[in-house]
Amino acid sequence: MYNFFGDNDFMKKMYEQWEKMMGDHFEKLVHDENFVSEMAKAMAATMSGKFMSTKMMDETFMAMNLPTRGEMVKALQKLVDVEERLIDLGEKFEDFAKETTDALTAIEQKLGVPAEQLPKSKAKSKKA
Amino acid sequence: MLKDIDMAINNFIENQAGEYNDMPRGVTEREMVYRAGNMKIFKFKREGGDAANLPPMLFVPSLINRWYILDLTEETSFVNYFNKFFTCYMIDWGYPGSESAHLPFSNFYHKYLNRAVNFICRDTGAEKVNMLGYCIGGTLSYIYSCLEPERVNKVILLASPINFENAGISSLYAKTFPTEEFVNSMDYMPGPTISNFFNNIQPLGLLKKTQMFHQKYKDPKFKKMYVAMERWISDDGVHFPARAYYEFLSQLYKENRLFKNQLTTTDETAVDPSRRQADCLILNATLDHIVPLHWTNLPPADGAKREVLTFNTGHVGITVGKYGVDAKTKAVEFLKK
Repeated sequence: MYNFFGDNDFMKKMYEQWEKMMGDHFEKLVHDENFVSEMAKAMAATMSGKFMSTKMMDETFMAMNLPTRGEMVKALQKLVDVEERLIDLGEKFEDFAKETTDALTAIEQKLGVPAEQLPKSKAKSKKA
Repeated sequence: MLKDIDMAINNFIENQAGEYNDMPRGVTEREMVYRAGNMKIFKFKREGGDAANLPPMLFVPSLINRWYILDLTEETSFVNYFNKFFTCYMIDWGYPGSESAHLPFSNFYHKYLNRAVNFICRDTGAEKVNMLGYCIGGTLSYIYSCLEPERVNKVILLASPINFENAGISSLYAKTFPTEEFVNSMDYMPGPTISNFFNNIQPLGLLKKTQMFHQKYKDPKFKKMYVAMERWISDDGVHFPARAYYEFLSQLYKENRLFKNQLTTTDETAVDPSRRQADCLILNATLDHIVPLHWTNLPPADGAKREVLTFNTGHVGITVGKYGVDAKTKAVEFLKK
């Protein structure tokens, strides 16, 4: 136990009793379905409030011909989508380049063609 | 007045923390080798270069906390230990904000993990990787091993929820969560709100932690660990992108689709546990109040080999507590078999 009360046994016992009581009480409370649903309602009300205030701000900004937060977030999300697409394409290209290089190396080994006589496309795909 | 009190408390804490206040977030030497959007991949430096004879190791951290819980101090670090045997990589999910609000949950467990695995395979020349996922990171790794069975050699699930049946207090919170209002108004589930939920399910946890601090703060070993933990858990919260959070809550917590073999990605690919091939090691904890033991059960459809090791500790204790040492030793033994 936390030794805030030094050697004072009475205070120690009282503290322990308080801790146990509060522990039991809170344990019951946070597992109580009614309490949890009331908490959820409070959360829902806060979220609705946020939704309303954001909407009001957006309307005010729109009336002034200024970009709203929602529009900026949408633009950001579009940028993320474009970035995602670019990453996917970049990786596909890398895979393709690797496959081409592997295939050319295999052909080179089979035919016994020296490296300097390889077609230029191999050097390019290696670079990529 | 309140500001002054806050400043005084901060000063006191910083003075108490001393040198530990500047402790690095993640102790093993690393470099960032890949970046795509918010996601980064770190590669950890090891003596003698890459471990060529064993598949590389990918750590997948949770989406609701930062990655360095697995590399918190030299003594407790999973990364440090695994790095002696394997070439190790770690995903850092970054700090998602409003720009990530529209990304589906499947992006995290399929698209982004696929990118990470592709990168690691290109980097090392390996065809498969070993994966270790902690908490939700384990859920992501497990789903990935179902979707891409040929890319995963072995998978370790460290205190990871798979079966959300009888979720107890968590399912009560999930059931009452105001989904509609959330979808309309939020771009993400804020990190502090998620932390509050975990504080709520252990109401006297904070008090007990403070008591323990007052009893032991003169012990430098304890103080180092305490400060490192607090910097991770209280000082570095991560938001959960809205759509991903909504899907995670509704598809896994409420409908338990993964366990029931009903989960599909955004492009309608079925997550089928019967396709999984990788051997699996489940590390779970009896005192885990976040992921109870039965949550770590694999779906009945999953026929792949698995081992289960249970430790008498809690959700975080299994990574940084005294049982963490056993957990990482057993995990490496499992991978080297």
